[in-house]
Amino acid sequence: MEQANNGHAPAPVDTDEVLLEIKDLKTHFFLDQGVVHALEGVDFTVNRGQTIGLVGESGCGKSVTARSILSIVPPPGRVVQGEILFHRAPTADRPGETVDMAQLDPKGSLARSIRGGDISMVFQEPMTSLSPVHTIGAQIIEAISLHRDCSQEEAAEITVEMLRRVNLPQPEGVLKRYPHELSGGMRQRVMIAMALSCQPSLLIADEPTTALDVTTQAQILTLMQELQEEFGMAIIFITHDLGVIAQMVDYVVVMYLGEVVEMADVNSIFYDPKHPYTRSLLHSIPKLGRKSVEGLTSRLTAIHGVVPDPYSIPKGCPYHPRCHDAVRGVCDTDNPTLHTLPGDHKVRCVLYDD
Amino acid sequence: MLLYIIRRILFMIPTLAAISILSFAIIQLPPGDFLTSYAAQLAQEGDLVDEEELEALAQRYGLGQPVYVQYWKWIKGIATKGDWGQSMEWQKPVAELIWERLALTVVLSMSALLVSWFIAIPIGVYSATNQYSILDYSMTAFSFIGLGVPGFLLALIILYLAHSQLNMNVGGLFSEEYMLAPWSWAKIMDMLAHIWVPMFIVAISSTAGNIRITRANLLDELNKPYVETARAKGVKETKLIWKYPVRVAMNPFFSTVGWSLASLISGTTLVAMVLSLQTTGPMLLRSLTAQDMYLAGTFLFMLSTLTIIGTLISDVLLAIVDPRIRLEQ
Repeated sequence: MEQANNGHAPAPVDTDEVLLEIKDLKTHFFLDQGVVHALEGVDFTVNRGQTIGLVGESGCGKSVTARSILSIVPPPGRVVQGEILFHRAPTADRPGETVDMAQLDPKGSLARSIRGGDISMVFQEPMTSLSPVHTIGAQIIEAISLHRDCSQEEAAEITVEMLRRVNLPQPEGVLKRYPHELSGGMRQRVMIAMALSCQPSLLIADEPTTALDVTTQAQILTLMQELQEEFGMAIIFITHDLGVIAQMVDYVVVMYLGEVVEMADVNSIFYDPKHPYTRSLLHSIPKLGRKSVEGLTSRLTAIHGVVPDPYSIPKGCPYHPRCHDAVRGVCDTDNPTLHTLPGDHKVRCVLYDD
Repeated sequence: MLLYIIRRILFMIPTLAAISILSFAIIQLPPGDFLTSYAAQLAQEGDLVDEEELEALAQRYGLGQPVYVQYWKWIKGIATKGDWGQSMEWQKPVAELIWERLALTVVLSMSALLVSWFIAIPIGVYSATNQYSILDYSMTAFSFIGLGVPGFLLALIILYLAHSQLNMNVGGLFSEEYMLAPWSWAKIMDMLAHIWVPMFIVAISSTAGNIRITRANLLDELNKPYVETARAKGVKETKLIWKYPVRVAMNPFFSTVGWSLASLISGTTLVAMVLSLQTTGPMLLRSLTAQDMYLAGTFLFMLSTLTIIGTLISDVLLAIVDPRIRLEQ
């Protein structure tokens, strides 16, 4: 452990220092049936060591945002506009630099050295996210040898150490195992070990617990919190599970149809949600001991309607057809801009127009 | 694994015995025997049929005896003396007849198989990773033509074109002077000069099929999450494609490689006849029509043995390349 981590021990993290800035990011998919505007101008910032939660229904662009940051948007999709400024920390052999991931050649060497090295990702499907025909060890060692200057033996040592760190029993044995010999929870631990093996400054977790059962979910979440304390990386946590958000994150970004509709620190989002969509989302989750005004347990309310067809996004505010507070003649004509309210609470809704 | 292989080999013995009985019985099924077709052939050619000579032949081969006696004599000869019997038509021991042809066939089919893989896999990978590109479309068109045109037709066309346009004879595996000559370096060099046209013809239809298989399998794999994981690790794109999805997409090839063993002998019969290649296919066909029972029996026996061995090889290979497959239990 001491040897493996020598020189890589995380420096004290300055959480006021910006790590990643996303500005007006637009990612479109050019399909035969038409252009899908998966992201229509996303802005948010991640500080070092911060945990950001990206929330929204299926198809709102959470995963596309993650893939845009790593520049691995699958064709026919591509980033058409905006900036993804990643502030790379200085290392022994190069000074710190700012890289616009949106401008990089996705297959080029700089993009590849950032991918997996500085920004890494844990995927939703632990069952299929590992190659079925390579051992766990080979897959993690590959990641380490790509980004760290070390021999195969050293990489294997680091791998064993990482596997031990994610609480896998008998890590030396796991090294030689194939993914199908492990359970879903164990595989997700392997994925986390692999993602953290190069000590990234940003970890993107795309619904890492969705495919797992509830007890395993809790274990994985606790593990990620522990690892964050130890390694000091920032995390972008993508989920539609608001319970996970409440447990894990500092700052919440709520997305709807490729746009950020609201963002604020986690307490403001849960106790003082501004956007009608965020409110509906919060009302659609069950809470223990929640009582209505009359003292009876209130019914869960589902959000009215469904997410619109991606080819025919409504004019004006994309949420207005489902919104209870929509103002006719206003919400269906212009899409409001992002307002900043006191406490750095940002919301995209005409209700907060001055 | 070793235990499994030994068990499989032991199971092969009763299977082979059953197959040999069956194939011998099938040869005997049509009415008449070698002597009747021999007599008919002589009569057709206007020769006088000598009843006494026929009688002598019948005695020699035990043709009047029951089938099981004939079978027993044959199989005992193979098991104890490595004697595969006498070809009646060629008037030579079977063993003397087939080994050279078998060797030629194996050289031809194996090289065609390898050529086909070496061409098909890179093209298939390109087609899948550049789906719907111009080159993908042209390769698809080529594959369908290759699949649709039978090998013997292709052989005829090439034979005709080579003869009429280039005044070349591309048939056969040897020049005339080496045809009956004993094996020598010169004869091998002569064969190498001749073999590539038949090899190309034999390879082309399987190449077309292999391109389609590679492309389809790879397209299935390319969108699997493990490919994205590797990409998110920062693996170089070309290396990534070959190391992960191509590796998985190749598994079906390993599971079918064993079957090609049997088709080594019989697979290219039509092409071999058109190009007058001295391979086993035409000889097998001839032995069947002539009811040359020891020769035909030997071929059928070999085909079945190769099929069984091939299946075993496939199973073992697949277990080696795909860790998800377990042979024990």
